[in-house]
This record gives sequence, C-alpha cells and structure tokens, in this order.
Amino acid sequence: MALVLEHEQIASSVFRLLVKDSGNPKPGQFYMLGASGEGMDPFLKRPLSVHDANGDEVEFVYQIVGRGTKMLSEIQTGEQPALEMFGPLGRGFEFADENSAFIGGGVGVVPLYYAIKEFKRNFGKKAVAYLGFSGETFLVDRFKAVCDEVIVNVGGYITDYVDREFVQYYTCGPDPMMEAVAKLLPDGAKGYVSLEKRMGCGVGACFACSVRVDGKMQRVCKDGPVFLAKEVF
Amino acid sequence: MDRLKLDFLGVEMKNPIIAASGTFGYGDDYRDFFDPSILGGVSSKGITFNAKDGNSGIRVYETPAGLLNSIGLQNPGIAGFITDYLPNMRKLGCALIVNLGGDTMEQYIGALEMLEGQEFDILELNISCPNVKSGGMAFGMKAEDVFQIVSESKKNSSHKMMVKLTPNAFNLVDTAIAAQEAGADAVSLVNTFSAMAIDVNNKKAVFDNVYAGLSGPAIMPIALRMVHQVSKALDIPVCGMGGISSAEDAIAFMMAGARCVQVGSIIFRDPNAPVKMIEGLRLFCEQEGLTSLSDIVGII
Ligand SMILES: Cc1cc2nc3c(=O)[nH]c(=O)nc-3n(C[C@H](O)[C@H](O)[C@H](O)COP(=O)(O)OP(=O)(O)OC[C@H]3O[C@@H](n4cnc5c(N)ncnc54)[C@H](O)[C@@H]3O)c2cc1C
Ligand SMILES: Cc1cc2nc3c(=O)[nH]c(=O)nc-3n(C[C@H](O)[C@H](O)[C@H](O)COP(=O)(O)O)c2cc1C
Repeated sequence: MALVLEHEQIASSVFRLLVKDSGNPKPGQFYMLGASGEGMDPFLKRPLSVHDANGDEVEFVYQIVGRGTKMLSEIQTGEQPALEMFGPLGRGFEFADENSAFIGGGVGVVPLYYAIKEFKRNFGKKAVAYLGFSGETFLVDRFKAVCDEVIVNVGGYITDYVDREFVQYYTCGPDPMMEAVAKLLPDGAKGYVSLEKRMGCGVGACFACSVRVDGKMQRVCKDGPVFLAKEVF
Repeated sequence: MDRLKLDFLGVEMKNPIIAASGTFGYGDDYRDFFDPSILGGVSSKGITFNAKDGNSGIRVYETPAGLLNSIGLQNPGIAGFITDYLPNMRKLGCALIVNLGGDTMEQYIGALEMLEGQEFDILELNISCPNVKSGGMAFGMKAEDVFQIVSESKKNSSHKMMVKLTPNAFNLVDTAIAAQEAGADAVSLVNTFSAMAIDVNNKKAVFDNVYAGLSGPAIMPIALRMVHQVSKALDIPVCGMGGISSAEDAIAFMMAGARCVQVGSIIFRDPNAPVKMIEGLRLFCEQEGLTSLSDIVGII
C-alpha cells in the first residue's frame, strides 16, 4: 500500500512518480517497487533510483522496459493497495568539496538530479551535468534549475563533451558509457559509478546481483549500487 | 506457555518459521524490517569447503508466482564463514542452522571437520549439489548415493544433521528413507526444482548453466505433496518448505507432516512476510483453541 501523490508521463515511455515516504534516502540509493499487490505476478520488485526526495516524499522517474514497469505506469494517484515498495536501499554517492561532473545516459540521468541538489546544498563548488539521450530528452529543465551548467547531447556520445579537468565525477548509465567516462578522466580523478544489475531481494540476502569489484564479488544492491569507478573499470 | 513453541531435534524454537538457506544471507540483511530473533530459526547461505564466486550470467529470472535461480553457491568458503560470519550468526537469537554443500565427498567431509567444535544448532546437509565424480549428477538423486554421503557425513560430524532433499530425485521417498537409514536426525525438503527458461528472441537459454532452480508459490502444491509423502514414510522429523507465502501455507505443511517450515522466496517480494506468518499462526491457534500448534503436525 502506497500513497501516490503525482504520477505523470514526461516522455514517450518515461514516467514521473511521486510517493509519500519518510525514508529520507541519500542520493544514489534506490527503492524496490512492485505494482502487483497481493497478486504474485510479477513476483519480484523492481529497483528504481531516487530522483528526488524531501522529508516525506520520494520521487522516481522510470522508463517502461517490460511488464513490471508497464504495470507500474498504470498505477493511479491516491491510496494504492497494488503499489508496494521498500527502501531506501544500498549505498549512495559520496560528495567532496570539488567542482564535480555528473554524467548520465538515458534513464541513468535520474539519480544525478538528487545528487546534484544535495551536492549544491552542502558545497559551494560547481556542478556540471552532462546528459546523453539516444532520442527524446527528459528532465533537462530540472537539471538546469540546480546546475551551474548543463550539457545535453542527443544521439551521440556524451563523453565527447566532458571537460577533462574534473577531479570528481559521478556517472550513471549504460556500462559502456560509464567505462568511457572512467577512461576519459585523469587517473587521479575520483569517480563514482552507479551499476545496474538484475536483483532478487534488493537487500543483500540472495547474491543475485553480484559483480566483481576491486577483485572481489560484491552485491550491487547492498555494497553498491554506487562504487568507485577505478574499482569497477 | 507459548503456543507456537516447539522442540526440534532437542533445539527449542520460538515458532516453526525458519528463514530458508540462500534467501536470508547470514541473518542480518532484513534487520530494517524485523529483528531475526523473532524467527524460529535461520539457515545460513549454503557454504562450501572452498570459497565460490557463484555462476556467471543472469542469476535470477522471474516466472509467474515464482523465480528461477542460478546463484551458484556464492560463499566465502568454510574457513571464511567460520571467522567472518558464524560468530555474528550465533548472536541472531534464534535457532542457528548451517547449510553445507559440496562438489565432492571429500569437500563435505573437510568442511564438516572444520565445523567440529563450532557452536551452532543444526547442520543442514544440502545434497542437491552436483557431484563432480558422478558427472555432475546431484548427490541427492539416488538412494544409494544419499546413503553414502549421509553416512560418511554423520561419521565426521557430531552436530545434529538435517538432510536437505532434492525434489529432483529419481524416487524422493527412497532417498528420504536412505537418509534416515544412514543416520540423518531429520530431513528438510524441498530444495528447488530443476527447470529452465529460454530467451526466444535471442534463441538461447536464459542461464549460462542452462538449467536453474525453481522456487516460490508456483511450486507450493507439489512441495506440499512431497512433504506429505516423505512424512508418512519416515520416523525422523521433517522440516517442510517450497513456496510458502502465508501462515495458511505454513499450517498446510505442518498438517502434511512438517514439524517446522522454512520460508524462502516470498521474502524477496514481501520482506515482512515472516512477521505476518508468525502473527497468522498465533491467530490460528487462538481461533482453533490450540494450546500448541504442534498438535496439528501430520493430521492429514
Ligand atoms: C539500482 C538500480 C536503479 C535503477 N533505477 C532506475 C531508474 O531510476 N529509472 C529507470 O527507468 N530504471 C531504473 N533501473 C532499471 C529498472 O530496474 C529496470 O528497467 C526494471 O527493473 C525493468 O523491469 P520490467 O519488469 O519493466 O522489465 P523486464 O525486462 O520485464 O524485467 C524482467 C526482470 O529483469 C529485471 N531487469 C530488467 N532490466 C533491468 C535493469 N536495467 N536493471 C536491473 N534489473 C533489470 C527486472 O527487475 C525483472 O526482475 C534501475 C536499476 C537498478 C539496478
Ligand atoms: C536465491 C536462492 C538461493 C538459494 N540458495 C540455497 C542454498 O545456498 N542452499 C540450499 O540448500 N538451498 C538454497 N535455496 C533453496 C531454498 O532454501 C528453498 O529450498 C527453496 O527456495 C524452496 O523454498 P521457497 O519456495 O520458499 O523459496 C535457494 C533458493 C533461492 C531462491
């Protein structure tokens, strides 16, 4: 049972979902959401990153990919017994008092918004967002409201536009994009990547989402989803 | 007296709900939802002699009302388990079951020897693992193999031993009887059903290992029938599992002959499921005027 405050389509297959929740997530954390209520199909919940949050609301932005997200998109506003969620989960981003680049691809841009907001709330340094989309763009105006600079690319490689001077960066998107980012920035730069992997439990209990990071098997849901770029790529 | 309390192999349990191996990590991951001490017990992730990274490729895949898994027993190995996890698991505040798997008889024995002198309540011998020497056929498939692995394991362990049977056995009841004859103190069943999924668009098996294990509510009626059959055939206690998702399901397994039950996949969907089940069991006792829930064991 969840209380849905707002739910709207913001691009052809992208939705914004605002839900009542007082979990006080940190940037980079995620929730597990499911729309089948008492029914058992789909069986598992879906991980979605926190796009924004304040004391008693949390916002998600997701793309319809398959059955789970399709069912989620059909949820109406109001008290919704069919919508079940738990979180916040995982380890989020760590910020530093440095000019920082936030590089996202596709729905990978989603968690960067809350990250930038929190970064700007705590530090006086510059936040530059690099947002890459394959087709339609979304959320760009929101980023413009919180960033010092926003660079958008459609259909190309966002990495071609990233300033190589940054020593602190955050990236979320397709693996090849994140790897390109990690290779692009100087060796001394501190980068964080947010990984996506199929999950079972979302809390670290089942070892379904394990990846090799820093030479050992780590769980994306519990040890991540945010990892140090140099330990992943 | 608490109506849910029971004695299982001399271990006092607060209630018959045990977190199933592989679905509850090492007992701490669900602390944000409930304190594990409310459970009857916890069975650890399957441990093997050597550390394992687990399987490559996709490890979980949904099916209607269930899931296929091919985790591949990712675990730190017995030595790592003993130093890094067991001490904390001892403090969980409920019955502690250590689940052990292996690729060879020698590995089972080696791990059991290392567990000698370690304090925990019950050893759960997972014999669903492929036996390298039998061309990868699981130890639990044939009665004679079960007899051999269980009797050797018993010889090398002073812990109470619960043998976890595989539902894929050629003849499940025969393997259960073999476990009992070899000295098992109890059996638990079922482990996952061998199953598969195909990605028809890419024309390939979903799992790198091709086959994976099916669990969750989808298997419940078959698991229930198996628990019933095995309970009727054995004198030693049975711990039942397979798709339990509610107090009602747990009660059905107990009526079919299980003294206690394990709860696995459902927790992925609803982390509070065990809490709700325990409440439901209590309510059932009140409604039925039962002074002890154990009175329903095997009534069917
Ligand atoms: C930590 C994390 C945060 C995420 N945040 C967002 C977000 O903010 N917005 C967004 O649009 N998407 C996000 N995703 C991806 C999102 O979880 C998947 O798109 C979604 O699970 C697809 O479910 P489905 O039922 O629609 O698709 P199906 O393909 O039908 O799903 C089948 C199964 O595969 C899993 N799955 C499929 N694609 C992915 C994927 N990319 N990552 C993980 N599991 C997957 C599903 O969870 C489900 O168990 C995130 C993924 C992770 C791991
Ligand atoms: C992700 C996952 C991992 C599992 N790992 C183990 C394991 O390590 N050892 C074991 O004996 N059983 C393991 N199992 C099997 C469960 O303990 C249980 O026997 C089975 O899932 C049936 O119960 P369920 O339908 O309630 O999940 C695992 C099951 C799942 C879903």
